[in-house]
Amino acid sequence: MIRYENVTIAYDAAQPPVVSDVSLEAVRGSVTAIVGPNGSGKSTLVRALLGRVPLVNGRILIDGTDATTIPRRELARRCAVVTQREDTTFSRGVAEYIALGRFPQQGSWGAPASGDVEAVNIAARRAGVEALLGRVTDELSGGEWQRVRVARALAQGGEALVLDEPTSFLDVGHEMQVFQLASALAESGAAVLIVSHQLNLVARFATSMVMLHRGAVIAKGTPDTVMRGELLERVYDWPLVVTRDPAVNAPMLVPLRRTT
Amino acid sequence: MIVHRAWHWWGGVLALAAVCVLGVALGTVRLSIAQVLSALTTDAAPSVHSIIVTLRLPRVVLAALVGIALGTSGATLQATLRNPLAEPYLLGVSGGAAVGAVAAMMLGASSVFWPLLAFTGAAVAVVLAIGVARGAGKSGHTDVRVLLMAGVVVGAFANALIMILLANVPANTVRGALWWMMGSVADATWYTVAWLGVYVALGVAYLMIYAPEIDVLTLGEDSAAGLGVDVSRATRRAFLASAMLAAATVAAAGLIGFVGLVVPHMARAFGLSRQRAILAGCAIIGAILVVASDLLARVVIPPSELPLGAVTAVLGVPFFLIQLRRMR
Repeated sequence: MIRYENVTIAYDAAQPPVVSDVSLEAVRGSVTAIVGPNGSGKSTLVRALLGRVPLVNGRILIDGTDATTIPRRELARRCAVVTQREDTTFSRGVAEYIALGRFPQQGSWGAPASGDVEAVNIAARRAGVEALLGRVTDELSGGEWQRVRVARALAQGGEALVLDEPTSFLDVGHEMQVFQLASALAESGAAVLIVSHQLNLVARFATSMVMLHRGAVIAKGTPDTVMRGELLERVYDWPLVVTRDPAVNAPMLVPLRRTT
Repeated sequence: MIVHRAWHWWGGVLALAAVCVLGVALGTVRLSIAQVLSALTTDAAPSVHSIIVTLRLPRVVLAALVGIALGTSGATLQATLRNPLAEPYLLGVSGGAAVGAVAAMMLGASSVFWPLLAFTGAAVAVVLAIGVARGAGKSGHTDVRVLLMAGVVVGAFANALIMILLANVPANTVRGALWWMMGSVADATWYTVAWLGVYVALGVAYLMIYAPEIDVLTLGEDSAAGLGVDVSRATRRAFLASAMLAAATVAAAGLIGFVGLVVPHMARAFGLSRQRAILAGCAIIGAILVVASDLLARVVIPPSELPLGAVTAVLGVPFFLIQLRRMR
């Protein structure tokens, strides 16, 4: 569904690339996670999909078609992205905010398309934010806001969903809600690509993982393949052990105290 | 948050109609509402007809057009730049226009050409700001933060140029330039009303067409790109259209500050949040504010007039301060 082929990205031709020769794939029916330390190029890959950073080399394919050749609105209809940050300068109603996700479906005059209201209601139900539809965005908690953003992405109606660090600043309950939602969407046939620092949640919910380090893929495969102690210690430059999650037996990272 | 109701629209239109009728009726020569209405519908005394049709009516219509243009321009800029303090005059439009007008006065050009040169100055300032923002943005993207700063810097440069230009000119030229910079619709003619009317109609229609795109831009550049918007092009388009609308008002009536800043906040205070509705609300509220300000400007100390730009600020500042206190 979403395929990065040998993607290299540089903001400045005179500087070393921030992402080098990255290949990965997010397929329908699965949760694919991109993980790695701060500055490893995870969000840059998402911005490249949005056409916000230039590719020096390689290409990004959506269902086998080069994303740069797909008209912007068509791309938005196929693939929804929840970006890492989004500031609400001006408050608006939650239902109205989610309805902005229908923009790619609307005509040039911006008149609501048939089925917009139903699409918003379905998206709100899937994201578990139906009860928030009567509220306004600046009254929402961090967790509510993230789920409302996911609902807006679902309203776009595509079969691929990209979530860039969707659980930043969320407590454990809200983190679980977001990951369970991502997992449920994949089970319903969507291709879910998630960028996250929450290695333990990723290991629990993702079908496959891609570990980035200094802009390059250092490991990829199932969580068991990627969540290896010596690899993670090297990448994060911190002593740790990888054990098993007692609840679901997924690999689980436990950071240790560093002894000087 | 106030939920906007259908009657708000009717209330706004009625308030605009009322303030326009008062604007035509009141002044150095006071007319009754009946006289105003009769002059519009039937034969009135020639003197009354002359006051209404030649002097007051074009003045009121010009004030309304200026309010519509500045209100919609401010609403577009605030949404596009995601900055509640953005307004047309902050972005070099006023400075560029003032340089053009002062240069025209110094060159001894006929006052007929002042608007043309003011408009040219504003256009140069806007294109310069967009050029700087586009050059500074990564990979050709227009960076809205740079755009905002470039506008401010271009405006500051223009102000410096004005001071240099006015440093060694006769006192009469300085007074004329200052009066123009304080804004006025006193010299309104049907000719000015006609060209500004066409300009405002086209500009507002353009902003209305692209309003849904601007709604999406308020989410931020990456989110807007994810919804299928060409962010750089949309930003430039909105910026250029709103800046040119403001420039046209400057050319027609000089500098009338604060309208572009405060009117969008007034519209949002009525619970409007969709850009198309905000534009419609700003058109009504902007027109009311400028027509009412012009009315006050000429009835407070007749037969003298207060500068229109100062009156709009005096009326707008208290509202803005109340809004600031309500902000959390």
